[in-house]
Amino acid sequence: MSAPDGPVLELEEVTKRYGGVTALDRVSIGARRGELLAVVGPSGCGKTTLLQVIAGLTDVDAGRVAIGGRVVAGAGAWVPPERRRAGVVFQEHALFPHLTVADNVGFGLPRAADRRTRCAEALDLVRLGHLARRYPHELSGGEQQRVALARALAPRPAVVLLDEPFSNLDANLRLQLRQETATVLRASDATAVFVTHDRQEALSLGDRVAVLNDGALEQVDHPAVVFHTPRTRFVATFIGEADLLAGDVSDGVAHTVVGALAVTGVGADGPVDVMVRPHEVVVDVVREANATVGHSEFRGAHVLHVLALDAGGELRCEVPHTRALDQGARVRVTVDASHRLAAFPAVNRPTSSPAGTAPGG
Amino acid sequence: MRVIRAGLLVVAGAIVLSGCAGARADDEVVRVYSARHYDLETAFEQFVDETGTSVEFLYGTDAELRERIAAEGEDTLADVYMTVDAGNLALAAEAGIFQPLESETLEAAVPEELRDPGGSWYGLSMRARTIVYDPEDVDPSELSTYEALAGPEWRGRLCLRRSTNVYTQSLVASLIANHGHDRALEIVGGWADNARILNNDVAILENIAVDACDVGIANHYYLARELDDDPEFPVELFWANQDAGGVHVNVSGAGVTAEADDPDLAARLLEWLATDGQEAFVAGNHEYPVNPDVAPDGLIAGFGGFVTDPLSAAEFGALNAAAVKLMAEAGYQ
Amino acid sequence: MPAREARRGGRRSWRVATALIAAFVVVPVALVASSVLTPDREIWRFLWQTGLARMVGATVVLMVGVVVGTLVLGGGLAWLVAAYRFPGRRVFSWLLVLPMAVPSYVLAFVAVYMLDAPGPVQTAARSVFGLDVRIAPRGMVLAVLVLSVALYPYVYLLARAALSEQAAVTYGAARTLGLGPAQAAWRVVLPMARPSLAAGGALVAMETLTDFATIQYFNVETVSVAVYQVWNGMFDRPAATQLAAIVLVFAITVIAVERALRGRARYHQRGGAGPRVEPVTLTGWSRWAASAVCGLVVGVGFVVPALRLLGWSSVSVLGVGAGGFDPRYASYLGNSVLVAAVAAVLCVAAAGVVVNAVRLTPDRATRGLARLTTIGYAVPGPVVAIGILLVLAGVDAALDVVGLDLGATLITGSLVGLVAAYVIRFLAPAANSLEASLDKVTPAMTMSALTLGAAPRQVVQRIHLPLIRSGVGVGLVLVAVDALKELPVMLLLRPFGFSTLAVWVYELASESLWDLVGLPALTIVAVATVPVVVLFRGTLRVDVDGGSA
Repeated sequence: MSAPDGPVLELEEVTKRYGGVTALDRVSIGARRGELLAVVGPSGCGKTTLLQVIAGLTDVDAGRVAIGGRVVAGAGAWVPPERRRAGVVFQEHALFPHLTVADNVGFGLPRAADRRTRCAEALDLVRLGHLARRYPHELSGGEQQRVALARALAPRPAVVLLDEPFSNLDANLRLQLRQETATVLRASDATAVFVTHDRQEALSLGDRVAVLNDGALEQVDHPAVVFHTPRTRFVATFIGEADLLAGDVSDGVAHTVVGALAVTGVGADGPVDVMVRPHEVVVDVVREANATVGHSEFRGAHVLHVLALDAGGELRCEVPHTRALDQGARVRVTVDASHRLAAFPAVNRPTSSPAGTAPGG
Repeated sequence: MRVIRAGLLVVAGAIVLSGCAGARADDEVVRVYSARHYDLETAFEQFVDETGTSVEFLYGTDAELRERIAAEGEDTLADVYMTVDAGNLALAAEAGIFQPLESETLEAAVPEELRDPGGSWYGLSMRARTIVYDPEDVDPSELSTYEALAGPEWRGRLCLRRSTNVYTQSLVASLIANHGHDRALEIVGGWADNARILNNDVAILENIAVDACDVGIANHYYLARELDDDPEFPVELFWANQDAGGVHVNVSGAGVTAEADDPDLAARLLEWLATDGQEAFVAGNHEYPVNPDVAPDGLIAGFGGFVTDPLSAAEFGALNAAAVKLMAEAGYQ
Repeated sequence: MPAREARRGGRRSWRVATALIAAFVVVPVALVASSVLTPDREIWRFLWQTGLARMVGATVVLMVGVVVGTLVLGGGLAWLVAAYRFPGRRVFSWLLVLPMAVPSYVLAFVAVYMLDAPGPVQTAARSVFGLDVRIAPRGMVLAVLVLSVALYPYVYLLARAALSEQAAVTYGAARTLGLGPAQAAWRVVLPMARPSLAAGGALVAMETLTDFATIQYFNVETVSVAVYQVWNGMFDRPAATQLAAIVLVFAITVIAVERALRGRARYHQRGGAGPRVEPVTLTGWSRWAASAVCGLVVGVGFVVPALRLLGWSSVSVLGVGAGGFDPRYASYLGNSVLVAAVAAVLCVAAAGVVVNAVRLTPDRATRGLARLTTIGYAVPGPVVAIGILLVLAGVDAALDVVGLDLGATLITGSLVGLVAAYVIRFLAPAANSLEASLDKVTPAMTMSALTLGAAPRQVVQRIHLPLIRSGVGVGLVLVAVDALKELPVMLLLRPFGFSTLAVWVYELASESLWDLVGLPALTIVAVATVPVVVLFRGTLRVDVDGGSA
């Protein structure tokens, strides 16, 4: 994207190896000014390494990293972390215990005239101005994390990196802090890269979501796109619950046991697996049944039913709790998606015909 | 870079600081590397008073000081090297640490057998290592020689000093010189079987005093010190080997170092110690004077006269290593 | 490119500084060790004939004995104080570390004096109890006992630290699973405390290995003793150096064993927010037995020696005995303090550079160099001393070529050699205490500071140093006390006319001049006691409610 505000952060074919393990495999990704990029993946996928590479806490074996248009790593260049203007918020807040909150926040600010104002500004941003003279150990977990955020933002970094900053907090606090952080980041017009293993977090916070698997970037796009049209099976099953329905595609339509489904993502005709998410599966008891309700899972507002298809295989479906079904009930299953479903070329299946479903994640 | 610069500054500062603790300017000073540590300031104070030359000391053991002078080479500050054992004097001479002195005073004051024929070193005081015993349990007629103490009748009744001590080593060296290796081995083996080995002569004397052993071998001046403190001290001295060559005698002596700044000044100190200062020098520690014109102090004069084994410092030194080996072979700790 | 320069400038100087320090430590030792590469068959035959095998055997037995003794004593006492309640527990919990203030050679000669045939114990036995006892207290058993009492505080300290942090939570879990205190200790706590016990045991093994003054009082001859004797008694530096090589081999073995036992455990303090289990209150005879054991250990290791020294000191101070007050005391005291202070500052400064360099540039090279800087602790004093002399002689020769004739001033007139040797020897304890303190500063804090724009030097100044102040304090004290007590290096490298309390004590004790030895020895013990109490009283004392501080 060469828009007038060009990419603030650019990684090009970045590779990093630790001994025999490839932590990052030719990762190319960028972030524009003001964007909040969420990087998500399972443990060991390389997301922390990605942050370290950007921050300069570790070097690259191949590829290039550029911040604010300046090459900071790779291609013979190296800028140490203290010169990169990349702020980091760590998982363990890492506040300096011997300094007050105000001194912590002001740590990265040069002795400039507007230091105190900038400090106050940053603290106000996280609404902790009243705690300026406290010490870190006197704050709660959530407050500490907010101070850490203010500290990273105070020097107006080119990019802010957040490394699973909420995973140490309990669930309720996490949700609340998540939103606040996003608000703060947007309010300060910061460019942020946000690493998490929690897909909900990624989907809800990111302007774009990048999915990493085993060091490789599988997909990076808007949350809706990633969620509804995952590019690979991994993304499909990682980013949300999914089942894969066997079918045969011709001309953009896949023929499956539950009907004809408009699909996208496959070039040639042939056998495919269509990704269907539980909330897109519709059941009704009125028409002719083609499945039986198996066991169910209560989820508060919704109930998840596992449906055994007559033609073979299983699908899961999510219904509001008011319309929960009993086990053994006979239902008709259809898929109702307001968009084209993602489909992947089938593996290890003979070309003729739908033999059932392959349940996914 | 700043780190390295700071480091160099610190190191330089330390050198300067510590330099202040070190050597001072050369005025009229004689510097003595001395293995004697028996309160000898009093004797030297007189020298300072009489001559106006001051004396500075570095203390250590014989061997350490010798190594040090050798390592320091021509930069050594030592003017005089003073020992408590003749063997060390001989070895030092061999190593070229001393410079030969031609001094009629010294040649007159110190008998021939107590100084180096080449004039490298001069004995300044004499100490006898002889038998001490408990008069209640031992009759003097039972005692005769060092060698006899190896006999079975003395099993469990003997107290001796450790093999690591230079006096013990010189005594064993003299045994080797007098009897040859095999016989000496027998003797020392007998000692090892009979004796409890103690750390120093004071311990030997005290053990005898409480009846823990009946007989021991010690330097005469230790007994003299005990008697000084307590005239009733229940240990007596026996002059060993009076009919068999003479009691083992060692000298404490000194020589002027080869690299001394002012050899004449150093020589004057030695001459003084052998003549005018001889009495004060030996009296401080109840040692026997080397100068035949000076009488021993009252207390040790009370021990009576004795015949000495003709001293060969060169042999003590040359045989020291053999002595150590022999003691190890014999199981003498 | 300018960017590349920037990287070099910041971190390279730390790496270079560490390398320089490592070289400073290694070169003297290497010079001496290299003489081993030209083994002299004569010397080796000679050494073998004078009982090398026996000495090696004695070394092994002594080391094993003392390690076991200190583990049992130090580990056992630490456990006793942590897990049980008994009268006096609170005060014993920190009193038990006091024997650390008594140098082992002081404890040794007091022990020999007290237990010898003419000494008070046997005299009392003879006169009061009528026992006909006149034994000479010598031998391996007594040596092991005395060294164990002298050195157990090191193990005690480390064991207490391990117990209070890492083991408390799992111990609690074991108790809830039905194990009694002793069982839980054996099966759960002991394995978890293994790294600390291994470290303590290694420290004790090293001290035993390089000691020669203490065990000579007991007629025990280890290889280190042989080094010193061969040096002094046989005027034979090459042989001594070859023997020193054997000592080095032992030292390396100890390090290897400790590393193996320690596994990959590191010393990060965890939050430890688990529930503490109440200590068990002892009843009946066992509570008094516990108090008695603690009292006995403190008595034998500290109180008795201190009182004995006090008795002797009063004799000399009041001028009652033969000695009278010796005016040399004041100057020796001043010398001791000077050396201790200079050595402490330099050690901690060097250790500070090394420890921070490892944190800032955590690559293999820097870590390896850092480890090299700590080998000095394991090298026997005389070896370091010879090495320093060789280096100084070389430096002097080089300077002569250039025209600067420092000569005598450098080698014998100044404290340079002595202080350099002390820095080499004591860098390890300084580094250890700094490192332990720096562990409180998480890597994330260091990285945060960097990403906030602070150059490495500023990170050290503004973040590391303020947070490791306690470690700096501990390091200064540990090195100062070690330097105060140290003997062998001082004996060889002290400048002209310079003597210290430790040397004087050694000389007086070997001549059994008890009245004179009291005051200087007491001074050493008193000076060493103050920091021991100040440092450890707070951390070791158990609280009234039973938990450990």
